[in-house]
Parts: sequence; structure tokens; C-alpha cells
Amino acid sequence: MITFEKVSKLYPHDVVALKDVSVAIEAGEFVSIVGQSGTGKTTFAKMIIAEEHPSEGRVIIGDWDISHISLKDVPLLRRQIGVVFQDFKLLPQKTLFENVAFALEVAGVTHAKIMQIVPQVFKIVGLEHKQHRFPREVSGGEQQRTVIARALVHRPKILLADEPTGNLDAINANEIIELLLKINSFGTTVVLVTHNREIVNGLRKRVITLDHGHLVADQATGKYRL
Amino acid sequence: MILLQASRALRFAGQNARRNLWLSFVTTIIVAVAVFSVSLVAALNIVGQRALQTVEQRVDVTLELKPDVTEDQAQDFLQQLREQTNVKSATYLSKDDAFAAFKQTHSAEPNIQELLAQLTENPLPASITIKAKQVTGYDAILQFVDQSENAKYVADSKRDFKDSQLVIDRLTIITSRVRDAGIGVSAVFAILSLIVVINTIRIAIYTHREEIGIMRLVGASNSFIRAPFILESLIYSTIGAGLAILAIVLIWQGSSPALNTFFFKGTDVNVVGLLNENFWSIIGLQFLGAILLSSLSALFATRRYLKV
Repeated sequence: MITFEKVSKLYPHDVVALKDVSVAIEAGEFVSIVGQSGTGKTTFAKMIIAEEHPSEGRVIIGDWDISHISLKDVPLLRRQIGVVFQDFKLLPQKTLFENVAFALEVAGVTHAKIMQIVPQVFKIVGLEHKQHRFPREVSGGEQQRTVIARALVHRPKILLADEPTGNLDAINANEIIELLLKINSFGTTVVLVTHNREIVNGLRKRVITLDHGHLVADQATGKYRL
Repeated sequence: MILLQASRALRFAGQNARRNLWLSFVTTIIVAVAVFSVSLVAALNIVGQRALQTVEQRVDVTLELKPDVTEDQAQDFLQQLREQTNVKSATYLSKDDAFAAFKQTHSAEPNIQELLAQLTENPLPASITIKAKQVTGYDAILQFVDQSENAKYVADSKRDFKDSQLVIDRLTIITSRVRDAGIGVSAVFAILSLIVVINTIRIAIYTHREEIGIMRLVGASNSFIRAPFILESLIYSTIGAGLAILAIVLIWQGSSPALNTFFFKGTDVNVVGLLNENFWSIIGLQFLGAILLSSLSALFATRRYLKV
């Protein structure tokens, strides 16, 4: 599903974000990418959605080599990958419903289809009773669940979550991880980028560890080792 | 699908314009002023050209033929004149026709009629009236007339085109100066409005950076992200051009008596009529200019400031 072949990413002034990283993530897997700050986790995540391109090597999503993807094809890729970030990225002047619907509107989905899909994803994330509130009127955990709902509207094969619990307390963080596991159980490949030791250790799923841009461990049922 | 996307892009463009209402207002006014100044130059050019045409149409040269010139000689001379490249028209008036015309003109004046009745001989000469294609052509025509083989037919000529040429020269100078100054002012306003529209789009992009980031994240196409900003500039140009049209119609109608007196006194030319004749070409010019201006600035601004 996601293949990195000898991927390196070099920034100016000889800054190495990733070096010779080769990894394959199969469809339906739940994989945690761990490492300390500045080890290349976010660069790894950005390459999956083509926000960054490798300096060397290849990044392949399904059968699609996106190493040098054209600008016009990037939107097509991103409609197949749901993305969740630490800072939510919700529009404050729109309700939770409108925020989720927005992802469908910009992709040209009809109003009737939007009215059908959006309530379904709110049901999956357990927010069907709060969908007409504004982001400021709900908790951080609920905002993050809305972001997950937005990531699910295109029925993505991959859900990429970059530090989704970074701004949440332990209870809300656990609820988000439970939700990600639930989504994974439907068959969606989940890539969780985190440096939260407790969460990774509690998952008992595959763990890929990065250190200074190098892949230093890839355990099928791993723990946070750094 | 395209219609749906276009209507959503238009909705987002409307939101952009509303959220920065003051800026949108100023941008629209600047575009209106730029479009107005271009239209004003076009309108003044039309009035100037028509004034020149009117004066030019009034200019002619009349050659009075000697009494001993026969009808055949006159017709031959007339034919030679018509063959000159500078001649637009040459009309022959025989002695009899001239007398009849004079009689007709003064038919309401018994004294003159009585005097004419007493005449035993027609005192009026045959004549040829020449109109040149352009006023500058009269010199060449008169040089041809003054050649010895032609001059022998001519008794006298009314060569008052020199005064008219002075008027035309002055009008040409005024018109071209007004046009040059107008083009200069228009260029300044056009550049100013380009800068203002670019800046407005830049601010719109900045205030929507969060929304743009989310659009990119959820897979909005590049053209869909750009479209609202380009449409926003088209909204400014359309409203701006509309205001400019309104202003020019009002000003044109309000100032037409003065313009009529200044340029077209004693003619049947009407300034409002001139506007009506050229209304659609002026509107077309305004909208074309406005759309070109806004498209250019929006394209520049989105390429420069919107990283998709």
C-alpha cells in the first residue's frame, strides 16, 4: 500500500531529514512511526501526501509512484488519503458539519450526496449530536474527532495521523486512538506519527522507529524504544 | 460538475469580497476610475474626430470659369479634375443652372427678382466646386488648376480653404493633445488599478491562508483554489466598469449642450447621438479593458502569492 524505496530527503545546508529509508506498509495495517522531535517523522508523513518529494529514492502509493508527482495530480492523491494533524485545522467560522462538508464541496460533490455522507461520518466518530456546533463550542477531543470525520468523507484507503493527540489530555487522547483503531478495523490503513510513548506501547501494533533520519527499528508488535 | 464547481467558486469569491468590504470598495472605485478615464479618452477622441470631419466637410474650392469656356471644354476640365487622386468630388454648375439657382434662392425677394427680369444677359459664370479627400490635398489640386493649360479656363477661384485649414490644424492639435494627455492619465490609472487589484488579491489570499491550506489538504484542485480569487477580481472589474458606464452616460448627457455649442454649432451633429452611435463599442471597450486588467492582475497575484 505504501512503499518507501531507499528514500532520502536532503534540505539546504546539508540538513538530512531522511536517509536511505526503505519500508513497506501493507493494506489494512496500523503502523506507528515514532522518534524524537526532528528525526524525520513529519517529513515521512508529508511524503505520503506529496507535500514533500524525495531527493533520492521512490515513494509508491498503491501502484502509483508519487516521487515526482505533477501538481495537477496531487489533489487526486489527497482525496485517497485522509489526513489528521495535531492542530486540527478547522475553520472557526464554520460549524462542525460545514467543516466536514467543505472537504466534499471543494471536490465537486453534489449537495444531496454531501447531506448523505456527512451525517454518516459524524456517526462513526460519535459526534452526530454536536455536528451543528462551532469548533469553539466543543472540546479539543471533539474537534479532533471532527477532523477525523473530515478525513473519512472521501472513504480513503489510508488515514495519516500526524501527532493527533499532541494537543489532547490523556482521556481524549485515548478516545482518539480508539477511534483510529475502529477505523482500522474497517480495513483502512492507519499511519500514526507520534512521540507519545504510552500510546505506542499500549497499541501493540507495528512500530517503525526513526532516529536522525535513519530507520533504526521496524517491529511487528513493537514498543517505543528511544 | 463544472457548473457546480463554478457556482461554489463564485460563492467563495463573494465571501472573500464581503469579508474585506472596505478593501473591495476601494478596489472597485480604482478600477472604475481607470475604466472611466480610458472611456473618456475614447469618447473625446470620437467627438474630436467628428468635429474634424464636420469642419473638413464644409471646406471646398469653387473655380469660376471664364465666359468663353465652352460646355465641352468645361466637361473635359471637369473630367481631368475628377481624375486627380486628391479630389473627392468635382461638381459642375453651368451658367444657366447658376442663374436658376440664384433666382430660386432669392425667390422671396421682389427687388432682386425685378432686377433679374431686366437683365438681357446672364451675368453669372459657370463654376466647378471641388471637395478634396483631405484638407491637405487642396494645395496639390490648386497646383494642378494653376498649370497654364488649365488656368486658361479659370476666371477666379474662391480659395478660402486656408482659414479652414488653420481651424482644422488647431483642432487636430487640441484633439491629439487631449488624447495624449488622456492616454497618459489612463495609463497611470491602469497601472494603479493593477497594483491595487494585485494587492487586494494578495490580502485575500493572506486572510484565507488557513482555508487554502485546508482546501489543499482535502484535495481541492489547483484551479478550484485559484478560481475564487480570479472571480473576485472579475467582480471588482464588472462593478467598476458598470459604475464607469453610469458616470460616462451621466456626464455625456449633462455636458452635451456645451459640447454641441463648442464643436458642432450650426451643424446637425448631436453629441448624445454620437454616444448612442458608439454606445456598444464604448461599453465593449470598457468591459474588455476591465476584464483584461483584472484577469492579468489576478493571474499575477495568484501565481505570485498562492502556492498550490
